[in-house]
Amino acid sequence: MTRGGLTYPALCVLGILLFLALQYSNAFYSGIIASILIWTVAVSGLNVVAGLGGYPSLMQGGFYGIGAYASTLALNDGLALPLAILAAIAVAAIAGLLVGLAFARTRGQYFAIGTLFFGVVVNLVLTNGASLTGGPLGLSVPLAFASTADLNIAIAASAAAAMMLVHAIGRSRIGRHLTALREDEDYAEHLGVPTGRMKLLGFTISAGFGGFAGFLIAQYNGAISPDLFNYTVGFVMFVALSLGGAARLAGPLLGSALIVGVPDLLNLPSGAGMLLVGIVFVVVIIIAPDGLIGAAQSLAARLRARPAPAR
Amino acid sequence: MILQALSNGIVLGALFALLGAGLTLVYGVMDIPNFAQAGIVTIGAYLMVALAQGAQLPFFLAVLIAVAATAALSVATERLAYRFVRTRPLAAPVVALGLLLVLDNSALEIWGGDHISLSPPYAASVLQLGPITVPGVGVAVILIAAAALAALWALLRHTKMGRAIRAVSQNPEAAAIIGIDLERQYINAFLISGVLAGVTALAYAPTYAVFPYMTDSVILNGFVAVIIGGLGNVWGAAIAGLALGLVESFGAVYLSAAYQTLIGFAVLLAVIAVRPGGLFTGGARRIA
Repeated sequence: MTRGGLTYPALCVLGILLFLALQYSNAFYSGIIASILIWTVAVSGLNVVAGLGGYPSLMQGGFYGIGAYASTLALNDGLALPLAILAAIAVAAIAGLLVGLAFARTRGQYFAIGTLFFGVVVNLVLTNGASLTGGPLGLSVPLAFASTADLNIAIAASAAAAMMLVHAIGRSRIGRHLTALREDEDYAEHLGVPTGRMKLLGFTISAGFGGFAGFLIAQYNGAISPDLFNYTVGFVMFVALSLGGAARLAGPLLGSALIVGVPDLLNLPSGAGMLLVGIVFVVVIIIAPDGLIGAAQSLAARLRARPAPAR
Repeated sequence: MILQALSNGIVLGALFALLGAGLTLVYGVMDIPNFAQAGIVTIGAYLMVALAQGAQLPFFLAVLIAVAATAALSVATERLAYRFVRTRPLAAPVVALGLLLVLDNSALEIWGGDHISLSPPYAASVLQLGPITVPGVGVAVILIAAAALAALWALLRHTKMGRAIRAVSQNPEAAAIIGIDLERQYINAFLISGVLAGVTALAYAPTYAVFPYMTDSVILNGFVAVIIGGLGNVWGAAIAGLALGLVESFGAVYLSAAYQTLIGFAVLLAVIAVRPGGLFTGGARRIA
């Protein structure tokens, strides 16, 4: 992803700045920043399977929903906060593993369509499994943090930690194998990369991040319902990743800020907001294939490469 | 009970077949999962309501204008967006979803979010076949789908345009070598799929409510039909669509109506697990 050893300290500083922004902005801005950061966690997870591995997963919204409901149900059963977090991550990761097994042999667009369907199924189950999920009305969430400041710390730290983890994964053996998958799956397999196992691992990791983000949004919102985890959420998360820059560390943060933050900031009605997101998004994908960060980097490289003007 | 489920299933299946045929045609030629087709069907349905019930045009004139508009809109998506990502397979689904956002939310901004209904002249009629009741709009879905698919078959089989589209779908490089204008066939495929979107709106809207997101989930069944039939295979999609409609209809009666879509997903998973390339794919890709 990025070079140099400064990434971790930089992300720590970023995390602190994000916390200060969350804590000391007025309620309006603070709400927008919190949404952006929670999305950053989920989209960073998506960055593993879709950014590194090149698998266009449109189901991250499903794991997000699974995590929100799993943690809320755990808290409702009287479990402690760490166990609720564990439940969110574990249930989502297991779901990711199972879906990964089901889709193990599908690639490319079959995969995209199949995963989109998974998002619909999650929403359907949340809506219809009323005895467990409260049906269309959803559940109210027992708040597990002592104060808003604690919750803000958790959100800011999670966003920074998610980016650090994805950075670490990207530089590890798993990351290199996933990148090989993205570049050429058949060739990677030929070279001895355990492609099947790597894919499953990638799915599981991504889903776990999604589940954890779901826990955060449930805590932040105080109430959850199936329409928060509509199947379009999964594809808008993929949009956020592509817009920011897939396989780039800051891509999820930038993409989330644009997708979640800009419509909220402009206070657009949701229809006009999504219309704008759609147009901007199609244009960016067409003119900047590597997302905005990729476009900025290639622009910078071109400026550097230009010979100095003659005097 | 069985007969009623059968007739419901045929109506549903005809709709899925119609959706699947339009999707898979574009897929065959350009490798694009055209989610935007859902938005085009929705806009077509709104235009029919606006022209027939708002502007008081005769119903069939309103339908004609709406179908022409969906065809133009479909070609516009190709010209303005898809053609730039033709060589980037991973960008295609993303652009398709972006276009769907644009189309759905345009409908929301223009016509509002209320559920309205499209009432064709045959809306009140009912076909009674012994113990089975089929509403007029259901009969219309079957007739419209049968006519549209037959016309599509004739077009792909027996016209120069159809042969060129099939050639591009089977092997673009070879088609270009023998002098087929690829660009032209991309536009033709989107034109035909746009007409099919308008026809789908005519079939679908009266059986259901018209609202901005009306087609978003039903189109997924179209994709299931496309995948089961083998991407790019028009007849595979039509047959798979019909079969899927029957399975979902019987599932709704005998298992659970709430989880009807889940049944479609289960069918999809079962097929993907056994044959990742779809059921009707032979050695080479064929679309007709």
